[in-house]
Amino acid sequence: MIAKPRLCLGIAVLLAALLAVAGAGPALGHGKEKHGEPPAEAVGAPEVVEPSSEGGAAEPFPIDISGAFALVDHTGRSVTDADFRGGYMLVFFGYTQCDSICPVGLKRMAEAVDLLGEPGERVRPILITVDPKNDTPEALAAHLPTVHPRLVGLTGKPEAVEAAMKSYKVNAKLMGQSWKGTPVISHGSYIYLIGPDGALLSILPPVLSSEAMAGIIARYLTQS
Amino acid sequence: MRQVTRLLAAGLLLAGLSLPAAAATPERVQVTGEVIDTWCYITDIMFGEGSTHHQCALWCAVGGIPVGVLGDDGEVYMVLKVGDDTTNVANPAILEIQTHRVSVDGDLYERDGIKYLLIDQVVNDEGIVNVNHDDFGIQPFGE
Repeated sequence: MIAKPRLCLGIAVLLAALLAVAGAGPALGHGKEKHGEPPAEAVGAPEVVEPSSEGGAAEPFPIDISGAFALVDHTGRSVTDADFRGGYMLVFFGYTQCDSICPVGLKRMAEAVDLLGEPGERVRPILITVDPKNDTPEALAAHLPTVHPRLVGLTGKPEAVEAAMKSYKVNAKLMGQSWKGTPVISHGSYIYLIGPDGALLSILPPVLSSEAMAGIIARYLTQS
Repeated sequence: MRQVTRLLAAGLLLAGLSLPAAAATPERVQVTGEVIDTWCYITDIMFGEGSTHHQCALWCAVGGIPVGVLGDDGEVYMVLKVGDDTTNVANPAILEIQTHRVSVDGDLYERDGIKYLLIDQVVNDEGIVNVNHDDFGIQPFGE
């Protein structure tokens, strides 16, 4: 039987602990035969997952996501999605004070970019905040280097952030405060791969391992 | 470094494949299975199925972790939306059927080996039928 901790912590702290312990996971799919015991991939040595040939990378992702935004980056510069044309974007929505999915989603996104090596320099990891009140350009600038040196942070007026979320079909809702007084925001956590022409190429579940993410992204890089 | 080499090798291999014509239109499907929290199920961090994991699955769904349907075919279908909603973040429709065994109608897209499901409607909801907390306890905090 699984150990049953009795200590009652907040949801955010619980998630942070769970996600930190989880490490990297395998790719989606079947073949799972056993649960409830520490799997090898949860404690290290994640598999290198070869991306599938299904789906046709040459085709745009058939879901209506425009990916448009007009925001301010972590240096205070006004930017739009058009400023990133010519390269690939990996877009994650989150916030710097998030203790749940953000640290893991961002970490995996950053590791995936690094796993790509030199070709990965064409991929720009981007965090669009869902907490513009607290995530000022200065706050983003202080946080981003702890994740990845090339991570771009985007914020803006609430209505501008709302518009960006809408263009990616991302929802966010303030659920309350943590014991530290920081906001706990429920938000979408998929990672969006945007191509050099601004088209949505793929939507990566943050539950994928960094290796699986990198494998999928590599496929698009090699085809362009 | 070896991982990178293997990764790039895989990418180069795939670049040489002739890809099938991608379905620009979705496949209409009906999927039957259990609504799951994809994080705990896929990472295997804990037993991520049935009544033992229901409480955690609710929290993870509220936290924005993608919800999926573990089909009877063993595949994980990533849910992108349910009904008229544009997202599944804290979607009441999702929370109401978390851990339930359901049959859903929707559009299936496959991309990069991942199955994405846009659910139109839940056509059958059997409730939580995978009652396993006597075997595994209530995760993660216990009863």
